Amino acid sequence: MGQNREDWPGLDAMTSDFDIRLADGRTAREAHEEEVAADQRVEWGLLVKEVIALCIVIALLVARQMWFV
Amino acid sequence: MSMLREAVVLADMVGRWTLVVLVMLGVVPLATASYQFAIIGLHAVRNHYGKVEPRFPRVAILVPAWNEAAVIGTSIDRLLLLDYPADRLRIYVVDDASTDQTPDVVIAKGQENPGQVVHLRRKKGGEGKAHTLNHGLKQILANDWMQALLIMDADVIYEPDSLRKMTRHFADPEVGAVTAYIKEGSRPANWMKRFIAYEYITAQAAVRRSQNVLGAMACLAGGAQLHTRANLEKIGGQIDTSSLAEDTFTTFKTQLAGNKVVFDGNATVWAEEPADIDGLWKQRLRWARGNVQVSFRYKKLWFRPNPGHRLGSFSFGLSWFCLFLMPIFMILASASLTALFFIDFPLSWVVFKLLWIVNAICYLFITTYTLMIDPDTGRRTWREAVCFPGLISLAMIVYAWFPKPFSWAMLGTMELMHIPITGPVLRSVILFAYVWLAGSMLGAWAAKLTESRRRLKWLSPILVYICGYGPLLCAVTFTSYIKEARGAEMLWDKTEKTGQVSMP
Repeated sequence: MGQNREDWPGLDAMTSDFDIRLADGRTAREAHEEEVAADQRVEWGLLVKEVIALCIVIALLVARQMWFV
Repeated sequence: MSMLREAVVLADMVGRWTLVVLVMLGVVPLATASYQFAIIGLHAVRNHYGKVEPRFPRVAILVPAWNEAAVIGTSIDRLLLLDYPADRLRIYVVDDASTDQTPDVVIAKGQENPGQVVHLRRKKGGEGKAHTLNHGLKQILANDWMQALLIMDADVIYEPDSLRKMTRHFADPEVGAVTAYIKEGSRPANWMKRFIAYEYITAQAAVRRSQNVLGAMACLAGGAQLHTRANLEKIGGQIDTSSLAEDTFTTFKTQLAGNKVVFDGNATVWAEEPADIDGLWKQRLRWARGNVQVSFRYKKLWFRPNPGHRLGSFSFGLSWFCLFLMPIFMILASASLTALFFIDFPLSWVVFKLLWIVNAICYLFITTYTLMIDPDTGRRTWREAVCFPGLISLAMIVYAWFPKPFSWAMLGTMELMHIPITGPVLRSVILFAYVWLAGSMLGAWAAKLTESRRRLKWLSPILVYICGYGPLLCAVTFTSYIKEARGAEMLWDKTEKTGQVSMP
């Protein structure tokens, strides 16, 4: 599980952080998997948004050169 | 004689081209910012999510508080609602000799939640946040209960999942500290808070992601910095008290000690920010002076790559100094353009158009992307996003994008207003445009001055929209140079909090 951290001797003794129950009743493992997937989707979304922003800039540059200069 | 003439011609040419280069240096800050934004997309593949796992260390939350009665109770309540095992959470409020109801509120919370909310009081207060933090840190480090320490501000409200989204990064043993995305959370938010809310998308959600990609973090947000115990011990077990930027020093020390600093843009916390120019000026002057101090303290670090950390990388140094020296770039560009105006007007006009088309491209890219990065905040702040450089600079951006329609519209308006369209009038307008890069900062100073006059107070927001929020920040940075050069006293002007923050 990669649980061990040299600086956290106390953590080694824990049964598992994965089995902790959260407020909504899910285990930490379930919540973690869902959240990481959602957060990763946000990051991919930012890449798509960046491409959109770049497309807007390029389209406007082309329009400028064609009609507005 | 001919040699002398050649020398004069050569000197003249060198002089003109030096001025051209100085003008074009004016695009460096925005171009660098665009580079930072351009690499955000890489965060989809170069982020830390591949190394995270659920982690629930015993977290001590350290809250420095001076006269925070209006906000501290709510903050504690929200902390107790964190979706985190209660037996692994302790809240330590370090009361910096408050003179209001802060101790009563914290003691009452401590009685309601014995063992979980701890009130620590300093007898002598007002020495600054770092001293207050050290008072609590000393007591927390005195026993081995704490495995991770969360440093926050008294007004900050954490979303329920934010802490565990931060602690999950500690599954990677190389990580020493984690910070979260701080959003402006005042409701209702006035014009200044909306400017700050927009600025925070750029400065935090955007730039900190790019710093994740670069592998070097400039600053752990003061209101949301989570450290491992080992990291704190490695950097000396206390916070630097010799500067006004204790959080930046902690961030640098962490990375110089060989530990990673990670920003999690999906762990969100909400904070209350200043509501007027005076409050913003005090806060940002503190930060800017802190940055001057950091720049000098680590003078041997810049632009010197080091295998142990990425703070010495060229890209990180460039982004640091572009922000730090932006007023200098603006003044140099403006002065050089003005000099060229008198020496070689046609050349000055070509350079001016080149400067502004690059600025206009960068502005459009950064603004559209920023509004999309955080659409919720973007919807509330799009007007401030558009007016960020100020309406006058915006006019120059519009001119750079659409020169023909803009010229027609401007000449048509002048005709309608019976302003004679003569050479001297047009040259005056152009000279004003050249001077404006630096002049906008004077406009920002004027906004600060009008705010302090009761009869003129209504004018200050109008001036900020006209002259720009960006130039206002540049004016603060410029003031910080002067204060540091004069060795002015390091005053800890705390931002006034009213408890307006709420989560949407």
